[in-house]
Amino acid sequence: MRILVVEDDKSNAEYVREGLIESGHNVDISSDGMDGLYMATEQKYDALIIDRMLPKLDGLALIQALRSSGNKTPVLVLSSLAKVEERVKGLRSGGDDYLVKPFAFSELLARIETLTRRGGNVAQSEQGQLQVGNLVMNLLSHTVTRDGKNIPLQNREFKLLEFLMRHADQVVTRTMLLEGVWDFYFNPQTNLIDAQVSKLRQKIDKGFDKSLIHTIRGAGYKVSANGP
Amino acid sequence: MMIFPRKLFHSTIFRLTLLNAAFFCISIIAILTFVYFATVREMESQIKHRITIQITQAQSVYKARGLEELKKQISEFIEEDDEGLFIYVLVDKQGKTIIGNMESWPEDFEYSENWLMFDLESRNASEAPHILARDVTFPDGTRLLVGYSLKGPERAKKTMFDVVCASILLAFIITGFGGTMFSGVIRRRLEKVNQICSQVIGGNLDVKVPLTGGADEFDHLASNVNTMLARIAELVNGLKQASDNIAHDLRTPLNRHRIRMEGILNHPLEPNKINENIKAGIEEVDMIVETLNSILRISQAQAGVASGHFVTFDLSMVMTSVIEFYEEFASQKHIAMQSSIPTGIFAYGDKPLITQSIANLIDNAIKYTPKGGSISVALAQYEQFIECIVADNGPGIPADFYDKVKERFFRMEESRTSAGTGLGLSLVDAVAKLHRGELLLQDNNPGLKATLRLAIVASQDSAPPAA
Repeated sequence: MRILVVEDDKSNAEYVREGLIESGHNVDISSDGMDGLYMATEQKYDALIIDRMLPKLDGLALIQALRSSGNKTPVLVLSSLAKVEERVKGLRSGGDDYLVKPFAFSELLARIETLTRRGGNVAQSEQGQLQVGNLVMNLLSHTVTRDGKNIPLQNREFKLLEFLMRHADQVVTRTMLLEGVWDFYFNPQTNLIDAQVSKLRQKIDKGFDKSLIHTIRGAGYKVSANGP
Repeated sequence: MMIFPRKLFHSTIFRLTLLNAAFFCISIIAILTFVYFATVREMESQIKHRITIQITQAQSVYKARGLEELKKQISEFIEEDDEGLFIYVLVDKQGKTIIGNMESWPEDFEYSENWLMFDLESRNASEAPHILARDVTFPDGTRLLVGYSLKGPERAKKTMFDVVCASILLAFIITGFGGTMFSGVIRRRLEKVNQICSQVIGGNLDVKVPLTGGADEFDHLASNVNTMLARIAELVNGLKQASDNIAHDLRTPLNRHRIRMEGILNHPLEPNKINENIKAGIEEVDMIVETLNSILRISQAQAGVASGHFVTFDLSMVMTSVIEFYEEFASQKHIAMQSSIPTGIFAYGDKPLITQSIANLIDNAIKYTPKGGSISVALAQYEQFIECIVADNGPGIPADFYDKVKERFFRMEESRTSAGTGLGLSLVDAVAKLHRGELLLQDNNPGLKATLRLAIVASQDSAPPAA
């Protein structure tokens, strides 16, 4: 993928660039808002990573300018403003996701990949149904079957699995689970997410020779029929 | 006498005083002008009345007793007129004067509606008073003229005019003086408030505007300013305390982090140790960031700035979700978590902050309740508030510490080893206050019962959607 990073902090930008290149992406860097807008308009990118506070042109203004010109490239907003209202502001301006500094690189990567594959890999075989391999979730009857065998799940486990299946073949981080499943915009300081996933994995994968829920070291989890 | 609006400003006082004086003078001018014209009119009609009576009398004398008697009557009239204000002249057919206190029939006069007006130049050229007169012609051609000098009324008019002018001048002086006094009083009282404000701007927050005890608008203003100052002092102190605490409490984890980094530098040949230290270091940094976020959220809630982002949301759903999130944690510790959450209870407030507050209460309860204990979570709606209750049967907190535990970074001695930022209850307390509620801590016999009480705000932006 071709990614543009608009960030004025040089070492941060370099760190993001190196990480993305290691993951096999092409990266351009711009250090101010005007330049960033010019590059994003002139060239074709698969995703944009834009810092909120930029010299010359504010990050949100950049996104608004881009969106009003019809550009629909996915945008990940980076910000040191952690308040939920700021996040809402960022998303209203046309950003697709919002990541608060400091962040783990794996978090940024997972979110960028989710953004660029949005809608592409959703495991929705029929209406009201999600499917990954032989795992089928019926959203209407609230039931989960694997290989036709019914798997009883607690409500919390169902919610978790639904989110993972909607992001099938994508790395989902703990923060993404906290925000997406539980609406938690703070770090509860426990390893509860890990405990919840391992409980879920016992129910889904136990007794089957092929695992569907994979742990991605240092990043998060992935539901996939094709291995980690 | 003067009506002042509530808000007074320095220049407004002057404008109002001037405006008031102008209104006052205009009304005095209007009243006196009316009085003046009414009096003049009345004087004129009295003169006409007197002239008419004498004419009528002369006519009846002539008719009953003839010309000679009329002459006598006129002489009598002249004699009776002590002040010499009446004018009589009787002329024959040829216009020759028969009798009168005027030489001849006036030659130059204005005539309107039976009344003659002329000047009697012969009397005194400098005064030249107007004479108002009426004439009558008898059957034999004799003519009589009865007039009245307007000298007296003119003088009265002039005096009245002077009185009116003097009154207006006096009124202007009085209102001007009164107004200046008024504005002086108001300026002096405002000056006090301004002096206090200047002191505050200069950095002294320990001042108060003195109250006069009159419970008037100025006292109202003064007490509002005082309340405002108290609030500012509270915020500044909060900010100071927060920055002190940040400095204090972040030094410790930063120090740990530094030692770890040094450890990596000093033991370059132990890859296991390096990995371990780096992992712990990242966790430490995450913890520092979360502590910072919590401090910011508490300050934000305490400052009341979050109230701009209030929304109506389903509190029942939020609580159910938070309970679900912690179920796994409770079951790991073999703690029975019971909940009683009625559906469809909506709250108006800051959703993320309330979510975190409920999470903090449940998290605390699970952390401090020993294995095999029990926790009950409930939601209840009353007329004026909503209560989110988390009760456990753990060791609880001594009643003396109920206020202490709400302070930032305060942690019970025995629980220092447990994980946590020491900010959990401070945040809940600040969030409760932001929603005009409170955090109640009670003895659960045994254990702790924490109640997050949120006021139900009447002015909700929209009615909750039907469930």
